[in-house]
Amino acid sequence: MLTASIIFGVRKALRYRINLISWFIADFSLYSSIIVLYELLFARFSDLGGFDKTQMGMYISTYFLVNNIFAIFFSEAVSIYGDSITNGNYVYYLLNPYGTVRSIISLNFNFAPLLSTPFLLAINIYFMSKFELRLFNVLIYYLGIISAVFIMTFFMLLLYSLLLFGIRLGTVSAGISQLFSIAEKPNTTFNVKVRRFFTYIIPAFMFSAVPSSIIIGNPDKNEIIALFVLPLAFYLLFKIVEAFGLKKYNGDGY
Amino acid sequence: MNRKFYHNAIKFQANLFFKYKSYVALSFLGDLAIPIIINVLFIVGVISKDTSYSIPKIIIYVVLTNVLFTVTMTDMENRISYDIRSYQLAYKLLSPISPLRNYIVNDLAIKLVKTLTFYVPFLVVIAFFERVSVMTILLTVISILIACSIGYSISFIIGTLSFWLTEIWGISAIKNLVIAAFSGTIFPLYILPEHVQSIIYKTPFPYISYVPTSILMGEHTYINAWNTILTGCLWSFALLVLSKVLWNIGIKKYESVGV
Repeated sequence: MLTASIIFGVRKALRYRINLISWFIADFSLYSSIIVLYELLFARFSDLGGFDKTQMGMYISTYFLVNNIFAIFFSEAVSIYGDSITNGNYVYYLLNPYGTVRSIISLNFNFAPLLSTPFLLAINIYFMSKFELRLFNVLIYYLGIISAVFIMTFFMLLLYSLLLFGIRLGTVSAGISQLFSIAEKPNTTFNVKVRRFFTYIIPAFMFSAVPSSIIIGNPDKNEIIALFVLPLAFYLLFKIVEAFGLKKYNGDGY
Repeated sequence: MNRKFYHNAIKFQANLFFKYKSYVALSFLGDLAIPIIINVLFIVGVISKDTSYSIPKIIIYVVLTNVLFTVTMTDMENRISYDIRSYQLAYKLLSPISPLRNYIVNDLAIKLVKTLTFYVPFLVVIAFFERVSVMTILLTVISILIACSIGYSISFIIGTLSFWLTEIWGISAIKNLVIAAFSGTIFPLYILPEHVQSIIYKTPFPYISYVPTSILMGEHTYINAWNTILTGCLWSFALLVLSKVLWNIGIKKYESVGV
């Protein structure tokens, strides 16, 4: 099934070249504009919340990678999951022998953002090379990135599963992407309570500050544990909410 | 008929907006409250060590500039692009109201509904506390109109590119990011080094929210404000002409089955 899904995803990506180019342009400009923004700020300030230019480079390149991997494997699936509940297609996924989430994810790979991955990886490796590295740290860092992607996925699925109760989320995805945009900003510029809120409740700093601290130095032990525990916690929460939601859901959309 | 059309457009958008209470609340949070809170917390954290900036003033600046940005910017290009790619534009071309007016009026109608609901109370409170003079309000209103004209023209130009490029969402994403960065919504442009400021001031982006905000906050002398408004007018005129020219050329290419 996985091979068939990958072939389907590749064909879908190559079907309209302009879409592929648009993805690349949008991704490239998104990441470049953030880099330019920090270049401008560093032209005025020597550090931002204690982060110097190299540390900040490492910080945002971590977020870029998490964002990019999420966009490739889960971003379309997550919005299709929400849409399917709203328009009633969810019942078809429920009938799928591979399971609801698994079938939605496999049918909705989006390989267009893969074009920017080499560029993002190059930036990430460039900044990483400026730190003193230990193989163990690098390994934990990349595992942390994968874990962060799962946190993002299960958090979004948890949110969309509320649709099963008939809660109209409307523009919630726009609001959540606004909240997640805090991950691009140095966590130390915010006070401790805000930082904790955006680390454990809305886990935005799990996509940037926490994994990058493994390479930059002085990682917080609790945050690192949370980085690897939260995917499971959000997954379980999502499954519980989905199970209760299914009892309320009529399958006719709304 | 025009009056009825405007009236119906506003009524329709208001009905749509207030249909679900959760939508109103989420729209307020997503469009305004969350970006403002994040930007305020960020910029205050960044400049807190630098005593040369007044933190309350920076907070007022970030609130104002984000409010004005939401009023003056639009994502109308997505609707234009959808109509061009599909058969929908043909219906709009056959309608007695020109497509151009249709897009703008419908977009302005929803803006008006949101402005009266969310933004006006914000602006009134700030104008009251900042003790803004009548002349400053007049200059601010003029600069907001220019900002709207620039914002709508840029959006319209990008939408019209669909006649040639079909998919424009990549360019639209660039637009959103570039404008957010260079219109001063994330941080005040005056904190940047002077050579960077002088480059940014030569683009139309600061006129979208930075200029109206700084005029409202009284950071321009009247003569200086008029000069800035004049430059904004020139940008607005140039972009309006460009959007009209692109539309006229593009419409000749359109064959009602999409491009």
